[in-house]
Amino acid sequence: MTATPGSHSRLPDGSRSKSPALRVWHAFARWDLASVGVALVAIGLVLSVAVPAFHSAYNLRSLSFTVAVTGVVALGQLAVLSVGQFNLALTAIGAMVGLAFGWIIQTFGVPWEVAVVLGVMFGSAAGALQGAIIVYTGINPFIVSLALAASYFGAMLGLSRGASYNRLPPSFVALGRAAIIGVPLLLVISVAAAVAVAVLFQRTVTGRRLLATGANERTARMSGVITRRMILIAHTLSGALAALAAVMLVARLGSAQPSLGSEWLLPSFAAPVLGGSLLTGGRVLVGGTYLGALLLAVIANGLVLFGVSAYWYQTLLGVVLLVALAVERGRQSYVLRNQL
Amino acid sequence: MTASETGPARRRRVRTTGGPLSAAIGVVIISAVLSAVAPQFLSLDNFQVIAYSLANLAVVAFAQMVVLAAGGMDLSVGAIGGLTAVIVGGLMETLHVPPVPAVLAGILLGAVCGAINGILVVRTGLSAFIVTLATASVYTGLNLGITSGKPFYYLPDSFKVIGGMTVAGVPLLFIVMLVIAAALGLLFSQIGLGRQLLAVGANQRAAELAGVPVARSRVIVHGLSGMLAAIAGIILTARLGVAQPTIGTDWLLSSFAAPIIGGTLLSGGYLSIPGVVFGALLLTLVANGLVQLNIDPYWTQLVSGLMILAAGAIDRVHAVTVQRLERAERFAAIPVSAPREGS
Repeated sequence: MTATPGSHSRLPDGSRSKSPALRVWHAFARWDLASVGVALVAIGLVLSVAVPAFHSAYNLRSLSFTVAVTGVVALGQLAVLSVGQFNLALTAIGAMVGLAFGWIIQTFGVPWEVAVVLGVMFGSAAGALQGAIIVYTGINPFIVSLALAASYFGAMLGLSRGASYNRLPPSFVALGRAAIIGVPLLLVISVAAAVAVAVLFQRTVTGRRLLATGANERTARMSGVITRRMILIAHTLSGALAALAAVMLVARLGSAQPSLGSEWLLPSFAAPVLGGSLLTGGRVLVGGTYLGALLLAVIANGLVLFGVSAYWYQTLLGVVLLVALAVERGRQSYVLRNQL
Repeated sequence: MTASETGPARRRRVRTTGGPLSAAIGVVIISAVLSAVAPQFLSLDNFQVIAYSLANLAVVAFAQMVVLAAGGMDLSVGAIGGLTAVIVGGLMETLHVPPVPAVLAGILLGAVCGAINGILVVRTGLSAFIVTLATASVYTGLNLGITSGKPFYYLPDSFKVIGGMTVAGVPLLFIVMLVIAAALGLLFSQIGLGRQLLAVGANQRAAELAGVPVARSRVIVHGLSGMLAAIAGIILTARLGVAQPTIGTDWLLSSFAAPIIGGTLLSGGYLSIPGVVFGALLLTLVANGLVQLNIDPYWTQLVSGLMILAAGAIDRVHAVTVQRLERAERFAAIPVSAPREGS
């Protein structure tokens, strides 16, 4: 699912003397998902051979829950990466929406269906506020995002005083365990969100304009794209997706806690980048992002299955990210160097 | 402003004096308000409390400041501080290393961690943001893996006394911070290396053409940042008397906040050490003031966030002023009497 407006030209290889093996190798090297694909297959093979429990229905279900939530978090980051910006407040928006969600259900008895809608609206508003400050004040986007991350988190802690909300309606908590023909409901929701985002970027004018803004803001503006509006839309979408991920996580955990989302920041960047999206904007790969999220989930899962202390997970995550980034960088320069 | 000041000099002054000045004004206002409403604020005890937290926070901010000035950023400052703290604690508690070699080893470790960041940034060509996000995860994981999340409690008394030591009523750790500030001031104003680091931050391409070894400068500045982060971790360990693995987890925000409030440009090329100290002091006073006024400390983060936003806004006002000055000069350069084209 590549979405690149005009860039990344693939030159026809003029030579006829290439051997078939070389052709296959070059086609493989050109493939955007080559790095993450190889890593995923290799780790998956090792795990399925070494640890039979990897295949168990229980383990696969737990994997799919992780991928479902991480995927939506990563989509939230992807939305702003498309315009070439970062959302450092993603985790704070998640925590804030999760707690607000639990609070209105527990204190005011709001039906959970209504609370979900309100929660996503709240997340969108928090994202829109961030976009509006960036666009209308011209303050450096990184500073705005950092400042709002602290402000949202501080406001959440100040208002909730670190409380968590555990008395959620059983019908809502059941959603976290529900399955449709064996597929967990949360994964279905996550994939639906992914398809919607992919359609947005590939099939709609707004999506192309978002990517054009990220690829080169000045050029996009000269071509008649209202880039300010695009940045506003990207941040709003990011907030909405962070809120969706928070609600999904609350359903999965069965409670709304202030620590919700505290682990999201690294995966939110790692999954899109592992999947070949650019941090500098203009190029987003939704499918690749989900493969990236799957790779992160499989690594965490593998550590648990091998009985490695969870404390080492962060080290391994960082190393994997660095290696994958370096390999991806090497692949891109190999493709450029050989004019593939 | 004097009449002899030329365009570029005036623009530079507008761009660079605003931050440190507004941070200093903020410090004066908050101190005045707190001394009026909170009677305990002006006590000697409270000054010591402020000096201790400023000693740590200012060094954390220096660690971020040096990379910002060279046009990068380092998200792993807190992770390096935490890793150093537990390594120094572990060396002293389990291997019975005397405090001085342990502290030196810790500072060296910080420099190595920072240099690894720098080498990765330079050699892979990836952005400092994503590289240090990943290495922060690596360093935090090492910290937790080594300690399993458990602190080193039994540090030697010869190390723990440093935390409480005072010279003429002034905490020793605060003096350490002042010495570091002076050394950094000397480095960036008087020494060729410091000027090179700033040149890289101001305009990497121009620095390269002028013969500055850009790659080496970026590795050095990350190493320096790691060293400062390590010192901040050791300062906090000495103060707490316990090497906690959680040291550094909450440094990210303040490491950016103090330099930004103090006028260090996120785009690189300029720093103000007094500005950073004032920025750190402002953050410390706000946290202290909330405690003095019996306000829930949960609100500290919100206030810090709003202060960063305000600092960003002030910087933006200065940037816009500079743009206007530039435009005015361009128009002034056009001779008024000359006939306009096409008219």
